[in-house]
Amino acid sequence: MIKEVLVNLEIFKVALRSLWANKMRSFLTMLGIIIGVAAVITLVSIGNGLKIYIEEQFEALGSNLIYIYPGDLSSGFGEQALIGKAQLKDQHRQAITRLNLPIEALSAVIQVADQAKYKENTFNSVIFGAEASYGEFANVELGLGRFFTESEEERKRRVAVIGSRVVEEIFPGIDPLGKSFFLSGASFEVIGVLGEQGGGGMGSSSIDDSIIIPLEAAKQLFDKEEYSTIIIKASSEADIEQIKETVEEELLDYFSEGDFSVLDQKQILDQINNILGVLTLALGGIAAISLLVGGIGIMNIMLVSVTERTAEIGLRKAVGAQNKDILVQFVIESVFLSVVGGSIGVVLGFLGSLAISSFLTTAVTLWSVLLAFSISALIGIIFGVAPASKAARLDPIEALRY
Amino acid sequence: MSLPLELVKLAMVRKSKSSLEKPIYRLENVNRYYRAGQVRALGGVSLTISTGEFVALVGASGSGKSTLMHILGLLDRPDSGRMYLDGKEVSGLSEGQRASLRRDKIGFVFQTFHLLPRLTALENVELPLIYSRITYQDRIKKAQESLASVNLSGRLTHLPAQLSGGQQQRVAIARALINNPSVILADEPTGNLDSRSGEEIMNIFEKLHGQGRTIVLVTHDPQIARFANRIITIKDGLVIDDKRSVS
Repeated sequence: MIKEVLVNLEIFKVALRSLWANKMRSFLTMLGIIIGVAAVITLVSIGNGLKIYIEEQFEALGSNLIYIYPGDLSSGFGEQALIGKAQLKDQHRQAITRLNLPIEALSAVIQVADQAKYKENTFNSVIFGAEASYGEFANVELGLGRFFTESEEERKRRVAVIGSRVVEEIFPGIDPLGKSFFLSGASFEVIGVLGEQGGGGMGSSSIDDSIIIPLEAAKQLFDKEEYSTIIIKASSEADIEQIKETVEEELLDYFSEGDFSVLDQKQILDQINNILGVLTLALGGIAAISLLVGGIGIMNIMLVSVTERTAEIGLRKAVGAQNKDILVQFVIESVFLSVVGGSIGVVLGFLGSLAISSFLTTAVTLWSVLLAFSISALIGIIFGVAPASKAARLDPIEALRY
Repeated sequence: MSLPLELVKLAMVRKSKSSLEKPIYRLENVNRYYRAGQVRALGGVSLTISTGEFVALVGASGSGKSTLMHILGLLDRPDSGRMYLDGKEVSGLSEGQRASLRRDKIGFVFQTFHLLPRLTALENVELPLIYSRITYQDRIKKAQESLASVNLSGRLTHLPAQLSGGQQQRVAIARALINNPSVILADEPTGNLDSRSGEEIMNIFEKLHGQGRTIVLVTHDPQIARFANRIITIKDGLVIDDKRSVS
């Protein structure tokens, strides 16, 4: 047993020496695997980073939230789903409040994209028309000033709480509190600034890009009666199911099934995660193809190496090497190439993901590292065995003629 | 210089006489065909080679002497007939068993040396021991001894390309000796050497023979065959002449 280990150790040294003797070639062969593994890890980290980013955004909205959307979102956020069939209006909001549910807070929200303007500065922002209670449960921390009150909302006061990027873009170097800016030709006074949340790359909007104004003012300004969504904050997590069921039943008096959706945060997250999971898999799959190409590169170079070293193989066999010894020698070479290449790829994948993280959220996951690494090791074995067994089967007489 | 050589020859004669009864090789009607039986490389060769003999296999190219050499070296198998090595039937052995026997009982010396270019002289010599499962220290010690026996103690770390042809062949002989083989098979060992280096190599073979080693040498050169004490001539796959020199 010990002798077996010893001889394999010797064969290991033999294999490494021949790789070292062809440093450039070994490196280029490894490059295929390095790029493949690094690509898998980096791309999967982008997919996962996106997932984590979205989860964070949802958490920022606070917990125990239930969303009522027009349209059928139960099967995911497809194109069809986003075309709302139901028109959520004040009467429905009233109906829900009349149900006397264990609700801590409720707010209807109108969401409109609009340009904010202060002097020459403009910024394309997302406007949320919301009720005063939104400030309580939306988990939006105020950096400066205050949120609007119920009376301000009822009186359709044109006041606004703005995100930190909005401040940067239209009030650069200016204290925005008390200043007025324009939305669709109407003047709004800044009464609060939201704390910076960060994130929001890839064209997705974040809290930092948004402007929150009183619901009634939004209705009037945008001439809109339909709500984009109604958000309910349940008193406790245990009440979520009951609230959802009751609200759904109530709304069925107004709309037919499939025209609206009542979702809790977890459901929405699950659906987004499903989509992102597919995206991540697709990214990883594309990267995995480059791993496969890298494997073929290893096989190619090993076949060349076997041909080049025919005389060596013949001699080793003449002096007593078993077929198995030759096989092991060549398999070790290819496995070494793929494992070392895989390790370098893991490091590069980490670095790549780190570099990208400066403008995108990324998260390297253990499974992608393990998967990429074990696939590369497996590739070394699979693509190494064919050339190695070709070497092992060489007839020593023929081989010695080289 | 002539006196020690005479002594060596005396010792050689005594050695070969005392061990004549113990055969290293016994071949019984060995046949080997190529191309699905169309070409007969060996057509019923029967011969016995005893311990301590220095045999030259001579014949023109295509005579079958190389095929016989490969069969003696367990690199090839007879299609029919029997071969015994050290009293053991070897014609029916598997590839793996033959590899082990090659390692333990046979030392090869080739015309083109077949040294691995990236290994030093010492590493080339210890190569067969890697497959004998011998520890590093023992390997180094044996390889040093073996190189010393061919007067190359000063060239341990040289690469083949840094050695002359004669020196390279001496490294190859040291490699052939390292497992203390029952027989040394040399295939045209001087074919790639100038006459001076060739003679140097033949002197080593003579010395080894004097130490009681069994040597089978394949050559087409009568001058080289002269060093042997038995000359077997092959033609058309048959032994046509077998004579022992009366030295």
